[in-house]
Amino acid sequence: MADESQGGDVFDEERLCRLIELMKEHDLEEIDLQEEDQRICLRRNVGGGVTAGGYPPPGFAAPYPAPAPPPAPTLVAQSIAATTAASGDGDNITVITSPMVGTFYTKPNPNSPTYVKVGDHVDPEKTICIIEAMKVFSEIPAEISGRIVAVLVQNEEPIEFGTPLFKVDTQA
Amino acid sequence: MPPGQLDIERVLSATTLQHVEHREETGSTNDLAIELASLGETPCPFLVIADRQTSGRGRGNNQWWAADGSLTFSLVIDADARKLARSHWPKLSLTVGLAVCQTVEALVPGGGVRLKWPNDVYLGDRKVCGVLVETLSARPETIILGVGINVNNSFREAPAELQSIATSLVDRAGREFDRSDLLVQLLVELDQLTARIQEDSDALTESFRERCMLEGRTVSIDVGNRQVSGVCHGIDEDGALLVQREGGMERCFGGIVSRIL
Repeated sequence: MADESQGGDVFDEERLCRLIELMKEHDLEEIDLQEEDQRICLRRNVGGGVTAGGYPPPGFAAPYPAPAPPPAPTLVAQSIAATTAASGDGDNITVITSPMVGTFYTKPNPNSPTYVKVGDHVDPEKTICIIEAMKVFSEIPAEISGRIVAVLVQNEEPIEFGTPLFKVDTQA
Repeated sequence: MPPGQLDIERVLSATTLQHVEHREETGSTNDLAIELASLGETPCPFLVIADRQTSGRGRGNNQWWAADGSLTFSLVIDADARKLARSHWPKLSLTVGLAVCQTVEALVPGGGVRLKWPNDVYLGDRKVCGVLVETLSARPETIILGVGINVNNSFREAPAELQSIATSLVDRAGREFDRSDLLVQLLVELDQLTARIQEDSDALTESFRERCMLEGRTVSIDVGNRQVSGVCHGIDEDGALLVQREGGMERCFGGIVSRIL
């Protein structure tokens, strides 16, 4: 599974193959991963293959206005929100979006394990992340049941209202 | 009632509070509030208040120095009952700070009450109040608004390292204050302002901007592993701090203000 907390090279061939298989298995259109200064997007066209692209991660504080990533016409370096809106995910895939603006945290503190990772089963009460803004730390519950099939945002990444955070297979 | 003692009955009758949990001493009113809220047996809104707080928490590992005469409490509210959408919760730190500003402005002549983004209130160049907002995943609609105000606790007797950075209402005004009066006024103000977060957000944003002590000053914000430095352009409609850097304007949603010039 594409667990961003495992470390290693995001461009590792074996990992890429596993990610591609994961996309096929769950009929995902896109996976977006970031590790330190490397980022990779995999996009699976409906009826087509998988394309990939990478661009530098955003800073911790959100730029104003948010800068567009460098153009990459043959790759998929668009914002997650834009691509997910046109997602070809099956009916079983639900996207959990951010209920607020702020900074996304995958774990309660730097030394703790992540709240959830790809493959984990969640129920509606399960805390899946923390969003912090202006010293208000909000624990975010899943609000649905299912299996996490993609984590769409990196730890400590700035997010906006409505930013897609997780994809959940509600029939798994 | 002995002078200086909180009049809990008056606080209950003059506000919308359903319950007041009053302790002479507790570790942290926020911790006790979380404990009570988790049980789900106390109707909201309710207040946890202590005459002395022995290990009050601030941001990170900071502790709130609370001697006799300060006002330390945690207000527990139900976001659903107040029709407060989660998207507006980040503005709660500033909103509580604004309520403190307006309450203190009415009591202490001379002005100089300012919001230090995102969760402190200053009198002049010294801190007079800290705010710590917390939420519970187990009860997702419950919000804890923790407040510590230096009221009658003079800093003339405080540790030397604190005297240069903190102050109290008694030090500024030269007279003591009735803490029950102040508490009632602040709770009424909080009721009104939390209602405005959703209904009248633009006016609230303007009130934040008017009292932003960082606006126009060169600031450094430690955000994660990097530092955002530049001229502060105040607070935007989401409550974020605007910092003009060489590369453009940045909106800061978190971080520690490490330097003010």
